[in-house]
Amino acid sequence: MIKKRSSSNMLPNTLGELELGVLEALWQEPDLDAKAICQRIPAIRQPSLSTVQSTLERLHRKELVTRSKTGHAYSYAPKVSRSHLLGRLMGDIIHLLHDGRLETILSSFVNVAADLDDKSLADLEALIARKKQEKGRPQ
Amino acid sequence: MINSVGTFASIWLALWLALSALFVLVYPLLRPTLLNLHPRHGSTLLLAYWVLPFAASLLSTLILFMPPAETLLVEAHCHVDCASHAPLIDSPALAWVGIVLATLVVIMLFWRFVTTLRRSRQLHAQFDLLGRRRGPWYEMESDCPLVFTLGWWLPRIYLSSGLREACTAQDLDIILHHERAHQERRDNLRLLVARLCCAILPAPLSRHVLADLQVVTEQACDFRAAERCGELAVAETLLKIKRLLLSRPALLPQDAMAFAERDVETRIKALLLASSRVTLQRWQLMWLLALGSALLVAMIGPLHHGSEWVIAALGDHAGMPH
Repeated sequence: MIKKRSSSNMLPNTLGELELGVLEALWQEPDLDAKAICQRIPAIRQPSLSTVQSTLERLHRKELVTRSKTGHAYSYAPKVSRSHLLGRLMGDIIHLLHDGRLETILSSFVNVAADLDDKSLADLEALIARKKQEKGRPQ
Repeated sequence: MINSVGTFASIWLALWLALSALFVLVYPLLRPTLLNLHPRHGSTLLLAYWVLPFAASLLSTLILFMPPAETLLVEAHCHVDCASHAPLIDSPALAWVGIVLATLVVIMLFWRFVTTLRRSRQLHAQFDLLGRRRGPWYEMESDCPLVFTLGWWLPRIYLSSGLREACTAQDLDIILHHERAHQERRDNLRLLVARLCCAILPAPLSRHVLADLQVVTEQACDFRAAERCGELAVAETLLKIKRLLLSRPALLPQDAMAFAERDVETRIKALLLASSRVTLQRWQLMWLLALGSALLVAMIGPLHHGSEWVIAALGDHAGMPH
């Protein structure tokens, strides 16, 4: 049986603010340990070392970072690029836009449904061309 | 106290339900006229139309329970004594039913609001951190050709680098004007209000209502962009972006849902026939507002007597003295 997504996990690629902050630090400088990452997170929302460690653990479980043991500590590196993560998020947005679950949160310029075939698109193009001609503008 | 609160809750809910049913029945008659208006006015009136059952039921029930307004608007009549009074359910059991139902509705509305707010904040936080600010909009480094306005009170525009690279300067100008119109009109907030106010309708019906509102809202923003760049240019850009999206089938969900179908076609045709749209004058809008207010005031008396009649009938049915 397919489990229906609840509102909390309907964005499978959604990350928390701290997870993104940690990834941001690793994108800027890979191969850092938890302490160095903690220092690179902006002071205004600086978390404790243990919070960063558990965040890194979560990111590792989600396969978004890789780690290697250096001495007593783990050294972390991002497994996905910023654009790859954004691409996944955009994919979520497209699917949610399509089934109407984001209709009151965001408005997109053009709907993302595959609702027009080539013939309909060609008809619309012809309609615009005809209107242009009527207005006496060159095509 | 319980009886008063229960009566208030029951009248509000019953009236909201009755007005919603009435508005649903009348909508097919008004829809062509509303959709033929200039979308700037059409979107506002359509929103007002679907907010009205909720707002009018709540406002008139509040007036019904305000002694000075009630004395002014309800014809004097006597029950046991002739003092000014609000309708009152005698049976505590019936009063509790009203309270429980109203509480459930309020919790449902609140839950919908909170989950949508949470989702919105989550998306905002992510895109703000991952996007890069480019003046009035945020750019997201992604091939996926997408642009959207996110948020309710202070919405922001997010544009992917894939879309920016595929657009000419004029396309980009049109897209940004369209999205800025969404920002200024706070369209996401309008849709949220409509969604909450239509929560009492069955899901397929409320989806249909929201789909109409969404298309007219998009048209309002298309027309705003067309004021600067021309209707034909906006129509061409819409078609171009749609083609661009369709050329990336891997991105697109294939199970098209009815509410989203062919809205680009509708919008392009609306732009090409822009001159046929009816623009309302300010005095006509004021007249509509005055008419609405007069109807609201006029319904207080019948609402009072109708509520007393229903309460008496329910009391008789339950064998209660009244």
